[in-house]
Amino acid sequence: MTTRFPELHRRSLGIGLDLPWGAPTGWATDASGQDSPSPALATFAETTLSRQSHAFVSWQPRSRGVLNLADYTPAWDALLGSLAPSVTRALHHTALNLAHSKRYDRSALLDFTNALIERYGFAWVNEDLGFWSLNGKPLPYPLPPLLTDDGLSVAVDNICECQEALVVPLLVEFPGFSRDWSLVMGPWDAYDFFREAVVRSNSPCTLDTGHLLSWRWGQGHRGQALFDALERLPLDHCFEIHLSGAQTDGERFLDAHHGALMDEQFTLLAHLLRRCPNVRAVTFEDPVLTADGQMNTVSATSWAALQEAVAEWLP
Amino acid sequence: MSAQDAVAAVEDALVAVLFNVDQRQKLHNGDDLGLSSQLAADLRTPSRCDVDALADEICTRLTQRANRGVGRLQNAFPKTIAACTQASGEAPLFEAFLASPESAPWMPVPFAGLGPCLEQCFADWATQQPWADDDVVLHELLTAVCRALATDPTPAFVPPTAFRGQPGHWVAVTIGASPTVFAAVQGKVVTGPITPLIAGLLQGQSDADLAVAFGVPEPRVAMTRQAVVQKGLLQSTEPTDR
Repeated sequence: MTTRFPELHRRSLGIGLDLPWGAPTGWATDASGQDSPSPALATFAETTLSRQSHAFVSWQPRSRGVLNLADYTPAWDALLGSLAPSVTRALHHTALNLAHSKRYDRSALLDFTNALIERYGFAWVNEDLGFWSLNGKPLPYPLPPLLTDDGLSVAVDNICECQEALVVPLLVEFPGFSRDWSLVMGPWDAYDFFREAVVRSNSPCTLDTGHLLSWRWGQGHRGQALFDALERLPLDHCFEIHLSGAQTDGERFLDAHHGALMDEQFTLLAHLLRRCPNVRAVTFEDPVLTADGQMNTVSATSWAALQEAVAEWLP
Repeated sequence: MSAQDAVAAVEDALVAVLFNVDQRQKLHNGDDLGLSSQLAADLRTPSRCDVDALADEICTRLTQRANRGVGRLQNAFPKTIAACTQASGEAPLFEAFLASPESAPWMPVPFAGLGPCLEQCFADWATQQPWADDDVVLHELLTAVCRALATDPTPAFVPPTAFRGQPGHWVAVTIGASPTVFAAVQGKVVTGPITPLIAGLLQGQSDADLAVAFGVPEPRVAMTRQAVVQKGLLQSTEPTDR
């Protein structure tokens, strides 16, 4: 059986945005309760996102209500309707919770996600493989999956359930191991675990450079060794590469999403572009926006460097 | 044990140690948490993870968690939190709440089941504390939940039992010396003092029972019921036992 990749007919450099409710560069709500893109987000969408060949937006729950597409459409219609038709759109999910046991019922969420896909024409959905919540309780950063045989079996079942239910491919993303918050439990190496999860579910995947480095860093690797063992990843299944701001702080690796890309991320990107035959999308994730809807200086510098780094790879 | 059950057991253990400081201490003491020795060792090994750092962050995020229409716990329970601060200085209020059995049912991500809202769990915990004024806690709780239900008429949580009604029409009543209504009707919040007779109507008592209880003619009760319906606090002129 061949892997179901998204349809993207040429190589693409794009931008992905986390969109929290109530944040200055996310969704805004006026005094009457009406939602819309914040002014900074609306400007960025018009001036920058619309010029990209692809873009992703993240979904986060709007409120404590039962899922209802109509609650989201005022703001989402405004944002996605402002993008040029040429922009391929994707959805970064935050609630599929692919590492969680069957006590987590995705049925309503998958129906809702398909409704979003149908309305906004998303070409793919992606989510980091991990615990985004535990028994219904929120976490500050997704926990990696349980790196055991049981954890792998559960993850594969969950991924297959989502692949079957979603009307577009799910890109399974390698999880991050940030700060002191990533509880690593189990004997599997995360590269091997991820490869098995992706191959057994026959899924396309996303490789996030910061997340990959965070695992290698946490395992004590430094220098060139950060880029070793890439053959243990499901390189043939990689469709998308993410780059989001990251840094080290002493012995800690911070998946900071602050717009500043590390030199090591560009080195790893070059390795992956050479070795992933099916990669079609490179995405700068979470540039930091100013109040007037431009990338801040740090993010703009990273973005310029990324454009240069992929120039030869792009058509 | 199936793979599902094995992962579920780890989820339970993780929730225990991350959300309950007492369970976390048991982990550090080497007590049995229902995990395999290898997984328990993984959790205790500082080079691989830091349970305390993650738990601290969870508690910090709880204090910063703003629910649409209500805001943070500090916004919803200002008098209750002030009473705690006055009684015990800078006590670790939210850490103690998270460690309590009253916080356990809170599950705001609704796909693992519906539970009570954060405000109810907090109120349930606060009323167990010696510094709390139960009437104040109840008033702050009902006010906050009223706003939550006006914002989300079809909530993905179980409203406090004080609230009667259905999506889009929620009413709670406190009785006693000064009966008060807390209602979320068609997206609007309606709160304020009411008469004991209106309280009885909102609690679903029949006109005949209320006429006897208050010593007034039944037609007068019916007229009052009609006025309450017109204000939107009752959905029909028929009494309901919901």
